[in-house]
Amino acid sequence: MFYEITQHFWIVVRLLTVFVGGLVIYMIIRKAREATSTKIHDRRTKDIDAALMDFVDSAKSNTSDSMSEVLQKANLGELAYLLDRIKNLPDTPRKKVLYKVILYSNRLKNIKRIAISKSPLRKKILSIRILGKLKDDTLVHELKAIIDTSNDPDIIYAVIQALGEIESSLAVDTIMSLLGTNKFSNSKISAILETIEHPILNHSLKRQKDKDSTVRFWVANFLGNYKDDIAFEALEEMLKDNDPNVRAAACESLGKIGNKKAVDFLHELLLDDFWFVRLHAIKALGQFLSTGSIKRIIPSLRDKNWWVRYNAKSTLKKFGPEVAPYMHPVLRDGDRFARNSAVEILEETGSADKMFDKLMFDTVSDEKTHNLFIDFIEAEGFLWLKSRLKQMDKEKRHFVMKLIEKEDLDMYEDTKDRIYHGESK
Amino acid sequence: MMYFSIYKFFYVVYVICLIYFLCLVTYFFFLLVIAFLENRRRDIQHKDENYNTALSSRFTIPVSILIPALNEEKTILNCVKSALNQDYPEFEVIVVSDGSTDRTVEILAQEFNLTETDIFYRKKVSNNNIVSIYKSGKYPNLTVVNKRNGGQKAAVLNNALDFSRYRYICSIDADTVLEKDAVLKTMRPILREPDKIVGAGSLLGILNGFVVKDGKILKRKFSRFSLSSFQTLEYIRSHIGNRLSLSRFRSMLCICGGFGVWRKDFLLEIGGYSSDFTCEDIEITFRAHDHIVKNKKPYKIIMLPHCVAWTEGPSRIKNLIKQRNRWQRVTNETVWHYRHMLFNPKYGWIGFLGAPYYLFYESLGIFFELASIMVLLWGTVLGYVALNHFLLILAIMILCYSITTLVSLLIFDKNQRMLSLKDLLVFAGLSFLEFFGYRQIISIARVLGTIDFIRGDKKWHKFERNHQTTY
Repeated sequence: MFYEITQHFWIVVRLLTVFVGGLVIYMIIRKAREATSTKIHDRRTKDIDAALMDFVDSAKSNTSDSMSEVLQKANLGELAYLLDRIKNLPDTPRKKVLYKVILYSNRLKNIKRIAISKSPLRKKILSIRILGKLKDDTLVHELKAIIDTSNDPDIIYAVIQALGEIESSLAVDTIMSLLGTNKFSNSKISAILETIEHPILNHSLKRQKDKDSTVRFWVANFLGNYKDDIAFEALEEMLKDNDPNVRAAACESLGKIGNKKAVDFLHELLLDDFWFVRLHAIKALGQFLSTGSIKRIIPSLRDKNWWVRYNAKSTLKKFGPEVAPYMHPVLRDGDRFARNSAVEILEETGSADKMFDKLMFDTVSDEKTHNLFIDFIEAEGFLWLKSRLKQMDKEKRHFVMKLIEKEDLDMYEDTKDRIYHGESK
Repeated sequence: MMYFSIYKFFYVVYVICLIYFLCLVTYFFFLLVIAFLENRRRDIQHKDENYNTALSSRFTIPVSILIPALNEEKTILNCVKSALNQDYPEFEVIVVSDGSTDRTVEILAQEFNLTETDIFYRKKVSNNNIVSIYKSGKYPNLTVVNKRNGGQKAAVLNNALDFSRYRYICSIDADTVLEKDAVLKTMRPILREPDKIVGAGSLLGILNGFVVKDGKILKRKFSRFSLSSFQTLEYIRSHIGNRLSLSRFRSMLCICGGFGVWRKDFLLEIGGYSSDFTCEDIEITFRAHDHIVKNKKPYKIIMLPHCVAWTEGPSRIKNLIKQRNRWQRVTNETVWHYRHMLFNPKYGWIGFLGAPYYLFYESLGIFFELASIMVLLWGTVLGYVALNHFLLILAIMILCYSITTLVSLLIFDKNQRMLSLKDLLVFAGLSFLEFFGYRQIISIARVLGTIDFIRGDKKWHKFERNHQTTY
């Protein structure tokens, strides 16, 4: 029985050995081809560069022999390379002529056909990208048609990138119309819109009151790129939007624009029902650093949401030493996070050091500073004290010890140890 | 009569093993075709991507890189530096030391000018066992957390998860060195579909033999004819020949712990990493798929073919056995725990393509392998099978596995282009040699792992580093 089963195994072994051998030979050939294809590629790009220079230098004719040859023989990758090189040329009439030569060449028809028809993915994507690199407004409709008929995200992405390269008003409108359609990632579309040099302010304003809140959200984001009164007014209006995401984005953009008129509107949003709106309002206020905002931000140290509290603390730190007087009452706050934040803010703005130095070195005893120091230590400022004590001699540590014993402050044992015995303990 | 029953038993086992082998070969060859197609698609996407836009855009989603560490004084610096060297617009690095008793934290403190601080964080998935938190004076985006030793990597990752601030997290091992564009390349498909992709993995290579300085790979010298070179082959085969293709069917069931990106809200939704298993990586991927199917979510977990990170592999047989023993245990634990996925129509491709692979190849494969060799040896000794037929069957097995390795190697080289012709030919040769020694070592580790799984051993058994890498 086993002999029957295994008698044909020789054939299988032979077949597999041939296959394995073939694979190894293919491996060797592929590596060899890799080296030669790099050389061929280098030579071809040199030819393209030479043809391009030849065309630019020959000011008379509409084309040159070398350029015609390149346009006929270049593969899609090489054509894309040629168009990238043309893009980097200075804006001269010859550059425009060159674009026209390519636009009206027979090769373009072929490229359009590949872009529209069912071609291999790589070829199709390259053709679409070439259409974009030609920067011609008339090609937008064709590209739009590809988006309408395709569901392949790779194709759609290639079209969006191509439209982004065309940069015309129509192209921008087409890209913006994709926002909120679920055809492609909104953040990727927005990233492409951001790279477009053509101003998109008017396009954004047109969609400011779009029915779709996703579109309004992205519009609020784009408007932040324009330090313009119209953009400011539009954003001010968007702060009242029904959608909290739009309000949050408007806050962020207002912070980016930096128009001080926005401060009062942002103060109102510190009381918004949605935590992320409050968060973005705080962050935006951190861009203005208007002293009037300090008092308004302090209640956010007790916010229901920890992330809002955390950002309120970070924003208050940005104000520097001028925040110190406002922090003193917070040291006695009922909320532990608020107290700790006050300590941290005083530490990082250098106010704690000043207060301590005043207490230690000033000859005139100041009751206010003394009380403030006690509040500071009680609000868990002992961590800071620990590091400060490292730098002191025995006499000063003794002074701090007496002060603490007198007030009977609650603190960690190791801090007490350090006060008594210094670093050696 | 007795002769007849032994013969019959022998025959049945022989046929079962043969059918198993044929099914396995068909399965692998099918996956190789899919891997080729998937690699081509990902390669096109990679070439079409405008990375400069992603690098300069404020709309690029920020990432938190999480590094759990336990006594990693020799590798931690390069790992953290490679994470900090990332070409990515916004990211943070969080190192959580699991009560390291060596100089791990001290080295980090010296190098990155760490100062103790207090950071507010919400304990969503971790326990309250933090000893100290440090921020770097040099890098504002670096946080180091020192926790009490808990013994489980999952718990450490949960701590790091609670400290992370961004929407996506990237978990790496403390002996991993990242390529400069590791996060960017892995985030590329995610940026296209952030609402759908909740997990992404990419190819991890073996670092042994490389020259690394300040977190940068200075020289890529692949080890030849050593234990780590066989591991390089194995990594390539399992990532390219298996996970990449399974990812196309949305049934890729392991994003390895050495490098994996996850959407944070999704990880929190499924309860973070679980400490109930020996390791966390395979289990979290199984659980993620289970959650997606049960809740009918449109989420995807993908695998990419780009080699984005390098990790140190064991260079001694003892350590290799320890590592593979652990892998075998966690595979068995996970397959057993999620056995309801197997051949369950509700799970689609996962039930019929992904999960059965783990059961029949990763968990039970060792028994089929041993049974087939024993039956063939027994048959040869008793005279049922002629010696030349035994050798023929062995040759077929070796050739079939070698084809899988060679095609995976070809796909890898097509994508990465980091192997010289000499490297390729050496690896091609090793794909045959691995059957004479290396595979037997792995088999021993798998048997031991299965025994330990039955015994209920869930310890990590960390292997010692031999440092074949030049730091």
